[in-house]
Amino acid sequence: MKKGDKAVLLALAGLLLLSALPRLFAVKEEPRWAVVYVDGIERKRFSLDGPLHREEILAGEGHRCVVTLGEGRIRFSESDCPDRLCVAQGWLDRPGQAALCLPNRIEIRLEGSGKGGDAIDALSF
Amino acid sequence: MRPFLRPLFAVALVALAGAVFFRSLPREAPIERRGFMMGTAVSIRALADEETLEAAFGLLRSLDETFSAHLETSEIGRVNAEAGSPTRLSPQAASLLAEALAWADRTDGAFDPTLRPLTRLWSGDGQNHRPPTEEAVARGLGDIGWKRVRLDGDSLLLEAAMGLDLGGIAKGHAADETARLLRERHVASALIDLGGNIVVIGGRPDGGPWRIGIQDPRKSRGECLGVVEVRDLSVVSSGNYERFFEWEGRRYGHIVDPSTGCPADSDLSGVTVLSERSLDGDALATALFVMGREKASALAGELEKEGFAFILAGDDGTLYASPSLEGVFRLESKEYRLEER
Repeated sequence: MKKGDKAVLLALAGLLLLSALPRLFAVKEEPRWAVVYVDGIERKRFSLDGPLHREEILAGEGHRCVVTLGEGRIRFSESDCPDRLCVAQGWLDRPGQAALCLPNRIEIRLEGSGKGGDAIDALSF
Repeated sequence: MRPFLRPLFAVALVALAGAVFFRSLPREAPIERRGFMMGTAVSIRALADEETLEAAFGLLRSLDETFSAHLETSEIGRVNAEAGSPTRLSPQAASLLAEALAWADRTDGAFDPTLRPLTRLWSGDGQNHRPPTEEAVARGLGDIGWKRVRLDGDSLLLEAAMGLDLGGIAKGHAADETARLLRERHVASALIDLGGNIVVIGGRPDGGPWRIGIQDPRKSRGECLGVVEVRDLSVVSSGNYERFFEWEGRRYGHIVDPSTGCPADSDLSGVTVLSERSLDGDALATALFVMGREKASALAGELEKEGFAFILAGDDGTLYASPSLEGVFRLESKEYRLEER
């Protein structure tokens, strides 16, 4: 191989490496978050790292729910709504999962990238 | 390397590297808006501007105010209050009611848009939710029946005590109308989620298909039995797992069977319909669930020839997926076994 060939190949190898950089940075795993929406508006954002603890979520007209979160998961644990279906929904621990307290218009969604890019965009239920 | 090949080789590789580089650059980010309408949480994620999403939410609010059976001020609320006298519908309401009646006919009444007397009975007063008496259910059954609806163009006559409930089709219609608005504004990638009624436009912003999880009817919300990968399609699911109440140890689902007046006692635990129009998927998901496995399978077989696709989950862990879903649907739960129809 001549000197010129080596230079061309070296330059191209450098270009290919450079081209892969954004992708390498893009695959970094995001931290997992629980986002609480009240009436469709983001009200609180919790990291799910750390030990289990409880947080109160206030909705309109004096209504309230309590969520328990930590150790990578979250759930509705108390609600003053009439049917308490939100409490019956149990733990959320994977990105894309959501729980809803319809009477109090409170929604919890888990955000974060799924491993291997297999996270879903939405759930049909 | 021959000298004359060197520049060609270099140009080809530079082009290749450039293509890889630009493909890996961050793309235009979608924006998302969320809200509560139609008795559920709704969201739209799209490669669009704020103004377009505001228009889409304005449309959803307007459709909710037109079709909600729970709002006395809605058009349907007004029509129900005027039952017994001739009334005139807006072209939009007349068109949707005609579609609903067509599905009632096609499903032999398993989908019935006149269920309001019964859905009101079973939805309770919001407190101390308990089943209605047998006498009340019998009275309710006497006040329903899609064949008794007199619709002529936009003129409607409902018998006294009858009432419309388009809840089984209105969300699908709203999703279709929202998708139409977004397409008219040249939105090429969007996901419309009306409480689990999904319509997608195009593919994801990264170019791949949208990945929609199918709720496992026997698990808590967010546990999927499988995933479908779709573009430009509606995905609607139905089952008694989502809304229910419990009374004296028994669970009562929210889907009422028009033939019994009580929550459907189906041997299907969940039904998913993939269709071009969400309106069709919405009506069919409810109807097939009510019909139960045998009748649902027969109708699904007919409708597959018209381009519909289905995932039917039996309460015994069997699962049927339409042949057209090969390469689209992937079963992920090991608790189901795929079966032929």
